[in-house]
Amino acid sequence: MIPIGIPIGLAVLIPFLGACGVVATRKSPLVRNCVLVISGLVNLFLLVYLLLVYLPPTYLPVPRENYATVQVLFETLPGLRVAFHIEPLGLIFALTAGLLWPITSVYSIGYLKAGNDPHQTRFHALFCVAIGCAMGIAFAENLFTLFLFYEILTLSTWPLVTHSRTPEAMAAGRVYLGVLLTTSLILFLLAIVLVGSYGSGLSFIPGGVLSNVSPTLATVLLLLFLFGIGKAAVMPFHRWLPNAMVAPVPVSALLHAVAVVKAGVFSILKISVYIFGFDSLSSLRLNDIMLQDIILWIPAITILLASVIAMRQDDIKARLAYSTISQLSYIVLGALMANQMGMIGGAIHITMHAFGKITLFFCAGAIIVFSGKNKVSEMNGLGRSMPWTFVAFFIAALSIAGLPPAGGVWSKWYLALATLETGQLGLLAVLMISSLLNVYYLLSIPLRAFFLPADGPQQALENRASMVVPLMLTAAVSVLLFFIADGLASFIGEIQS
Amino acid sequence: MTDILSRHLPILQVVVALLIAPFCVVLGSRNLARILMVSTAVIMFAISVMLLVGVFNGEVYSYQLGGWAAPWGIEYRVDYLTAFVLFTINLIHLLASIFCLGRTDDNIGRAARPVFYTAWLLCIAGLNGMVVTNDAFNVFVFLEISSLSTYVLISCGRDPKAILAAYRYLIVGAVGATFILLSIGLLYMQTGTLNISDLSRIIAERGSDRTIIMALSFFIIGIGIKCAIFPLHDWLPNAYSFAPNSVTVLLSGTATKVALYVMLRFLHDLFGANFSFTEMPLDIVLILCAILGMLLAPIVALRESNLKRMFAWSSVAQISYIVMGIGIGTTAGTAAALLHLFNHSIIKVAIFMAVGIVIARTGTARIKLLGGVAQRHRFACYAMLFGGLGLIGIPGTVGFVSKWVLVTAAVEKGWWWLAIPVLAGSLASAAYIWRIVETLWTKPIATDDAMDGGGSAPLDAKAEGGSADIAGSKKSPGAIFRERSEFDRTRIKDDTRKYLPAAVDLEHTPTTGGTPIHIVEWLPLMVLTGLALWFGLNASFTSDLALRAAASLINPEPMNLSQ
Amino acid sequence: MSSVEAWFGALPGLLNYWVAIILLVCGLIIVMDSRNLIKKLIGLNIFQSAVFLLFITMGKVSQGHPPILPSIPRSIMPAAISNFSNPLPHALILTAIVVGVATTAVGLALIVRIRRAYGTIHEDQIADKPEVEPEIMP
Repeated sequence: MIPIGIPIGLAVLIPFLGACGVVATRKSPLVRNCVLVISGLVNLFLLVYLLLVYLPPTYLPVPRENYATVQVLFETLPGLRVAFHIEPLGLIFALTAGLLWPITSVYSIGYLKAGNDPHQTRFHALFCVAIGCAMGIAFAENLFTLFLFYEILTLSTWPLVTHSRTPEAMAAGRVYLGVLLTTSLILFLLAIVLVGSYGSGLSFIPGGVLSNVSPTLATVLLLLFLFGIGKAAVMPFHRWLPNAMVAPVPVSALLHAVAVVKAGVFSILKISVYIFGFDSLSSLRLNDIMLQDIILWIPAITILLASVIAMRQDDIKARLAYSTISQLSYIVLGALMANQMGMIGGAIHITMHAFGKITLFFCAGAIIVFSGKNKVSEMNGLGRSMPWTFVAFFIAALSIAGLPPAGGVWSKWYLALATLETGQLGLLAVLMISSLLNVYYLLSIPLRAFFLPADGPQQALENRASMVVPLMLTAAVSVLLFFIADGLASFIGEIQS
Repeated sequence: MTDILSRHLPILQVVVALLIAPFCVVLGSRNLARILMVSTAVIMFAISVMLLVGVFNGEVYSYQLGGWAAPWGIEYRVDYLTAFVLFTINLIHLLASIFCLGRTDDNIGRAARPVFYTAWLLCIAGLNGMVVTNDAFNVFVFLEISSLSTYVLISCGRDPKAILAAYRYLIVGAVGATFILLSIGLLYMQTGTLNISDLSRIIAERGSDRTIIMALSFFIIGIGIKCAIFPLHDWLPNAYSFAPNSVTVLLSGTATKVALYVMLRFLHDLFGANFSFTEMPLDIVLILCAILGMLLAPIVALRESNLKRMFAWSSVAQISYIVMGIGIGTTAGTAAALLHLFNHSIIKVAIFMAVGIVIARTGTARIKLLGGVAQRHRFACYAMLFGGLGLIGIPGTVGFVSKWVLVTAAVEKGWWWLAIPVLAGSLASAAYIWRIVETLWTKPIATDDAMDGGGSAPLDAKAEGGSADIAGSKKSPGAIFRERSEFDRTRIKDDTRKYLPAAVDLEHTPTTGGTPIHIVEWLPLMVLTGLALWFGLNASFTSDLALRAAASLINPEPMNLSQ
Repeated sequence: MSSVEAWFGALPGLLNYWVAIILLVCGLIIVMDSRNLIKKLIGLNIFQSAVFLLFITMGKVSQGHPPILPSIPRSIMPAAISNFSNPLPHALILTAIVVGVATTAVGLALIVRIRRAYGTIHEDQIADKPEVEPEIMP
């Protein structure tokens, strides 16, 4: 047996080591930044290695059965262990986060330097810790491991959210921590305890561990998970996300695209596939009422409401925040529909939305830093001063709205197919309406910037390569994803649930 | 030789400290007393480890005092449960006595030190005796030995209110102890024996009557006071917050824990689980108290303005988790209680050590004035944070492990709804812990000058009511940084500098850097933090031990109380 | 009404218990109600004495003799003296009295220190007098 646990363990460990390295080299900013970027690249390399090892059998140098896929780190209590494994969903999430980490590092180095921030080391170190937690969540073998990294992620991002230490930031930090800890410590943990007591173990097993559980308890568990994973920002537990907008832009990028919310929706996806399994999910019923059909409307309502709220936001970051809430519920919806198409759609939407949304945030940050404007209504004609930024914004907005030639179109395609499979045409309508709203509130920004006359004089503003290059890069990946989405989908389609 | 030694281990556990205690005073030298105290702690810890190893090897120690056979003579008995609790308290005692050598309690001067150490040793001797003895009356005697020395120790606090706190604890504690004595008297009246095993047998044979019920009620009230179970906890916040820092460290890890042990022993062994939990509704009573404690105490803690007192309230909350485990009554529940007994000991002791270090360096326990302290006393503050995460029960900490075991035990028994107060309580502790974190890390740092009493105080502190009158007078602005502790919510307008330890002498402290943390302070803190980290990630040792201890209490055959 | 009569009839035999209970309650009330620190302590002593009395009472066996071995040989001992009182409660209470005395001593010592620090031993006045000099131990 070839232990696959070592590269997984390293992939989780390297971000934490990176954090230590960043703290150790805090005296010299140049070395520190190098450490940051290099650990990101090493981590990416490891993840690519893991992908190559795990790809479908035809590509494998050694058959997949020869790998020990579970690596136990600690056995805290009998049945409660810190362990990692590898499976397609986690790999996709890890690769997304791992690819975005070095890019975001470069961007945040530029951003913090531009703002002359006094606490750059703290920022970078905690950023590394957050990525490490995302890796831990991606490779978690059981609910306990997932919960462990989920909580560390919550706590380690709190200093990032309150980075500026202003009273508004502290208040936002309190909301952030309050919502996330309340949901996770009460609902999520209760659900885990119940799964541990009534299910057959906490491990993620294809087909689920709840086959012996009564449908009523399974429904309760589903609701506990759905609301307990506050990071997925399903209404009404979404308030922390717009509040956290006071944080620096790279933090928002981290929250929205790379680690935090993605960790939330990824957890829901993973739980629905590996804890419930499609069979027990689709058999939730109470006296002949199909509960699943009702529960599906919770994310659906979130999708619509968040889109409507996003339309009314003038602050660009707030608009993006509500857009994120809406998009996250696409993934939750995909996870809860309990069919192959929904799972694929949800999983690849993690990646598609990550690249699209991070591009949007990078652009928003660039706009704020370069032009000092953060109101959408002030951005008339800004496109001529910042052409690259707004082109990238345009591409990313296409991806989020689900229009070709950007990757987002595929995830929405799969989700639409999934709604047809469940037979709920209402949900399909929700997806369509939301896409239209997306087009309205996101695409209007670059159009306004390019085609409306500017208020003041125009000059080239994009004078910091470390900020402009990353956003071009992520926009390019968004386009690239349009062409390789099929591969991703078939990779995830392997999961037999 | 080793055989003789091993046979005498149970009595040595108690008698070593009892014998050495007077020598600390008689020899009259502070350094000698220090050496005596720490070496006693080491010996006692070694004995407890030997007992634990012996128990693991299948021995059950039964020591007959003076050779008198069990029902008439006093018997000392060590099984898994006893060895587990002995190990816990002696570990804590060892670390606390090392910590006590430091400079956190500078008001206890050279001459007073030997007496202080004597009281310290008597206290721990009494606690060990309570655990090791198998004689009900002996429990009372050792309870009083430890309590009396505890009153003395608490009264050594820097603030004069410590004497008041000690006095009040004395009154409440003596009433509690007398209740226990009364209960033992009633038991003796009915059974004619004092040996716990014998009592257990006779009560099981005779069945209960009104006298036994009275005995149980008096006992629960009496021991409840000593355990600080929620409605009877009144003495604890005052005693903990005004006691010298090292005494708080010792008490938080040992005193209440031993009382909880006695309660467990009496309920299961003496009265019998069948009587305590099935005939009498004690499980419901205990669980109700526990729920109230774990929900209300954090709320009080959240409003508390004194750092030490806040953590004292948190102790009240955490004891409730242990009580809930006892109330569940099954093997799993008892194991959860014991596991939390150990886990809470190590984290709370670490927290109080860190708090002591911070208080001794800054000269204040007032949370408002501790802004930005983390940047100066990084190690102590991170230790406090880590302990705090343990109190919340973040996964990966010991607190999570005990919470998990407790909730699982409740669900196993079918009382899944108990999970809700437990989880809500841990959330409530998150609130007060995070308040501290915000203050220590993100509030504006007090300038170096102000911290050491040389310069001006930060504006937000100045704007405070109590200091307004000081600003006008010619007193040092450093007066802002004194302890304005509260006693029963009476605000005191105290004078400059009087609660400041010598370590922060206002005139003579250099403006850069505080007193460095001494090795005797950081070493035990580090050991405890390391233990907490290890047992949080790998709890197989502690959980196994707790399970064996619980099984040894509840066996012969595991009782299933739910049926 | 016979149960009441029986109840009153048993009263003299249970006199010691009644006294103990009355003392117990008196002591407890004094402890809780009194604002003077020394009076509180006195209440505590009464409370403890009540429990001692209870113990001593149960040691008494009706028609029992003091549990002291007579010097005469057992064979010629009168039959009545074969009935002894139980000595164990006395031994226990001796210990408890020592403990009680120690508690009182510690309590009094604390009161001395309180008086030195606050100038009063009345709880209300202590509450009114929050400003006190710290005691520096030698």
